[in-house]
Amino acid sequence: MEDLNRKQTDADHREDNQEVIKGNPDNLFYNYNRELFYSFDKSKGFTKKVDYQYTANQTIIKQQWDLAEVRLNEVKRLVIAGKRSPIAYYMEKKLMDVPILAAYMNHSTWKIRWHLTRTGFKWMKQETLEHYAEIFEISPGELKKPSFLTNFSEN
Amino acid sequence: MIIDYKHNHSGHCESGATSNLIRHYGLEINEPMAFGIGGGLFFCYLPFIKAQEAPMVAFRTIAGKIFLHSTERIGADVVMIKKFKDPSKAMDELDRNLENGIPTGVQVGTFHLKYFPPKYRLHFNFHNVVVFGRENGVYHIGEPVRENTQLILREDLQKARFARGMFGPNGKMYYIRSVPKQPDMHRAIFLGIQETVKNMIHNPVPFIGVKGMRKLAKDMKKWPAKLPEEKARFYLTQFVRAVEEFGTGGAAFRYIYGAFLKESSELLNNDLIREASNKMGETATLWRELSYRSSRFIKNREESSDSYSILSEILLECAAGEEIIFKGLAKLNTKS
Repeated sequence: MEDLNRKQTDADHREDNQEVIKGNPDNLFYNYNRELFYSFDKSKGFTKKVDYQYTANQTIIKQQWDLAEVRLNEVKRLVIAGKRSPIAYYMEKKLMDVPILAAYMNHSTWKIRWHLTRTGFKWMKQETLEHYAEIFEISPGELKKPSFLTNFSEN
Repeated sequence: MIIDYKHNHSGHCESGATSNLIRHYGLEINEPMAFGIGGGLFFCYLPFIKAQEAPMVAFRTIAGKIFLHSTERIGADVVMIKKFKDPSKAMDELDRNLENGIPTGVQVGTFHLKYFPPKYRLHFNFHNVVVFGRENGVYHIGEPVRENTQLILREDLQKARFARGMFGPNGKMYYIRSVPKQPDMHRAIFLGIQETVKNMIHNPVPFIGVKGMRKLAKDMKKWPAKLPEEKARFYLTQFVRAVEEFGTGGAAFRYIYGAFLKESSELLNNDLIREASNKMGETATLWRELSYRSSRFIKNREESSDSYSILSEILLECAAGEEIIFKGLAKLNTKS
């Protein structure tokens, strides 16, 4: 297994981190909170250290958030095109999926999926709409007619 | 009313909350000790359960076990209320505890914790915090993974305690009534290690413990052939996030467990445990290396010389390392 060109200690992994921080802490994606890490060294034993997340790790976390944004834009496009309801947009924005939203609404998943379509949204009761708005933490008016839909037609 | 509670920054939420609560009652137990005595180390790979659209990988026991087991083993008198039907009753119960000067641990969903910036707030329902004070509808929170204590509004805390979705907390809360002054640490450590040994190598279910790691390695090798490229990479990403990020992360748990073994070997003066702790440290470094290489592989496939089969071989090495450690620890007995 020598050919794998192993990094020997935890400290080596941290070097990358220090380089990035030296330049500008804003370069890190998770620059808000320093976490407590335990590490091990053959000579020193177990130590504790307060530091930011690994750089390599932060990169893939950032990739996931970028993907989430791409998904959100895609849903937004579908809503504007009239293929999905605004609930689909806010669900994506709140990082929910259908089972989670169903659990918050106390509905079955198929009912949520029905509400994600334009027809289902149109036939939805006012109180259900208010319940959705409460979960998404917006006003019912905003959910009925989101601000990004300037030429939203009722049909 | 704000309780005089000393907050300690920790690596992992539940063992941090547990050790902070025990320390409040005068017994010095640090985070690795609470984690180890509670038998927190675990591995399970469940390909048939999809968590965030990827196979579920867990590196720790289910939420609540660390607190229950560690306090039971040191002989503390504790109360855990697993479920409330009515959210306002759950908050009243918490208020009553605070009035009586009892810092209380609660299980929360991270999505509603407004003191985190939005990019930290995922729908993750296994987080644990300690509530230790209340002033006019604002609660003081000892957040184990933050350096300082935090404040949260009553309605946000209520929402967090009743977050929905998979394994919702349902307002679970726990607190300690009393802690013995001189607990039998020898017995507690022994029971903690015994539980982990049982989970890691003696469990007959093929998805749990070392067997689970081997199964994951076997499946990982097949991902590029079996799945579309995007999906295989997504699975690997979720695995790396499980190793490093979710609930502190699998590699970090190995370090914490190693620190526990180190400390108990000094406490009990036992060479068998000391040897295991050094090996645990090396295995943890191997886990960290696995995640590090995987994330480089995900980031840039062309520059990296790795492939799914090399990564799965490192995973097999981790499994072999842990098997040796726990087979060694299985030889421990109460007399040693």
